[in-house]
Amino acid sequence: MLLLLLACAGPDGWTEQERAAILSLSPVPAPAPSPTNRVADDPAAAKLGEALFFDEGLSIDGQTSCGSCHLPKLHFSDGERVATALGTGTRNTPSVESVGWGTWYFWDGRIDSAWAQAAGPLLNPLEMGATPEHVQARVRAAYADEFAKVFGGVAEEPTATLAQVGKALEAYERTLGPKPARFDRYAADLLAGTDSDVLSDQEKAGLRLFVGEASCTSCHHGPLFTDHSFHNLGLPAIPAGGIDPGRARGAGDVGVDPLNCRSGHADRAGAAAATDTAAPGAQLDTAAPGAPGGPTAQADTARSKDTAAPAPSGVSAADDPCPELRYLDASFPDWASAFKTPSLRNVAATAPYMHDGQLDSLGAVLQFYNTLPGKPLVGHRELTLEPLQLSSSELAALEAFLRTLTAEAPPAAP
Amino acid sequence: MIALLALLACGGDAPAPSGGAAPTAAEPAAEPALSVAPLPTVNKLYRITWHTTPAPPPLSTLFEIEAVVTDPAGAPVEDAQVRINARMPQHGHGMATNPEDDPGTCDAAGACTHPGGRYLTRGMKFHMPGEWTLRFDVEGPAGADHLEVPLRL
Ligand SMILES: [Cu+2]
Repeated sequence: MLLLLLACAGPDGWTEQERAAILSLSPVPAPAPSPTNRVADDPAAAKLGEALFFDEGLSIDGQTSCGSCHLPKLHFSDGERVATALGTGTRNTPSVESVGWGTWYFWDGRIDSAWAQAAGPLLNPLEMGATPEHVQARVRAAYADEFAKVFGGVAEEPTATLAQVGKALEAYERTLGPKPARFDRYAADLLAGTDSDVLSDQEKAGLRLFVGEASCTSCHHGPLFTDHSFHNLGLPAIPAGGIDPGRARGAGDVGVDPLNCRSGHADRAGAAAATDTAAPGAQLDTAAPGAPGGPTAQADTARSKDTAAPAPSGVSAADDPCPELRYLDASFPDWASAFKTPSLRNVAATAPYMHDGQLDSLGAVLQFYNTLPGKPLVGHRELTLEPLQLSSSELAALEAFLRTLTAEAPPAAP
Repeated sequence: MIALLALLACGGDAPAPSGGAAPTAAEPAAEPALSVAPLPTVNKLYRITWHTTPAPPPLSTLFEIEAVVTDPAGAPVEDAQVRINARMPQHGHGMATNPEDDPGTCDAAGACTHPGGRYLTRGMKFHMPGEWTLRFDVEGPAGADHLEVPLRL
């Protein structure tokens, strides 16, 4: 009876609907399966991936690693507006902590697996600038034993070696998943029905806005605080590199990516690991984001829209191992200058914000949503967006809540 | 055990629910993603029962939908063409996927039927929460007709 009274004294006056919405945001589950990477959850592959992640020898100048821009102390982001390595790119360095739950990778979703994504920066001339041959030579010189253990050897074909490197990197990145933050402790208390002072009154007020009036969960929903989709926010500043088509190009590019789910480098359940079979005629695209040239998507006869990667003949819908590619509408009109919804996990540590890093602080981001200044340069702003028109104390509460999503920084590089 | 039940029954601090049923932490105000009774098409040429897999359809995840089409008397319509699609009317957009209608059971000559009046569509995805309208277009022996079903996610 005592328990009953305590429980009904009520955690913080949430309505049933608010309570359900809050509990849907926590805890972070185990990573989703990675069906095209056989070693995605192999601890030996993760250990190899960690060594590769911090290995400058993989880059063409011997001075750049994945860890040069994905800094553990900043939850694997870099604190810069846009990435700078061998050159300067046009987009902000995202954290790699949430790769285990994604569908599409990079800000424009031009890649459909975390391992194929991880291979991308190695070849990007603005990032690590390597070639598949350079990567293969480095692997043979430094990781022959590890590759023998994890993959049964270094693949003969350089691009297949690159795919192996990507798969080990993914295995490592999957171990970096966002750790529980203060918000998760609060949600656990709420689930248990106990009163909780894990969040302050101000933070709770921010949470109430987040799941309610401010409608943040329209796009930032689920335990990763993202819909894994793409939206045009109508950001004010003109990007330095010109107008970025974002998802409008990425949705077509993913269909012809040489490491995509349809490529010979993708592992298949029940088949031998794909180590040495390159997709016929596939060419690795080493172009930096923003370079011209996309695929010509083919018309889908059934619905006369563009399908990113039409299934090879003979692959029925029921047995297609690449359903996301099969059904993606590459010509969806709202993709124009749309970018991926980032996770809000550890968001306080990953400034600056937006795909091009144009907003320096969480306060600036909230101020943007509060007034929605200007008009989109391309396409139209996401129709669900309306100026929040919150008071300064409400904005401060929202920001205080967002900061409760940030856990302690991971340990420094080994 | 009593204490446990009591905890479950308390939920949040919402206006106290009357009656003995424990409020569940269900999706906020979601409508059932399943028609429990057959729904008539607008001109009453056909009746449609439908369900999704998984049910209810999860947000931002591919799902399948199966419609069972009958005539007004309840006899299966096996040789119709059925198209299933979804839109967000308030946002002026449809799905960001191209769903595919299963051809059904086809013979060597390519003539297809749908035994039991079952029509399957794959590759649906609701990429945003909000108001969606599910639309079934039927072209069958009695003519063309359709059904729209509002859904809130
Ligand atoms: Cu919409």
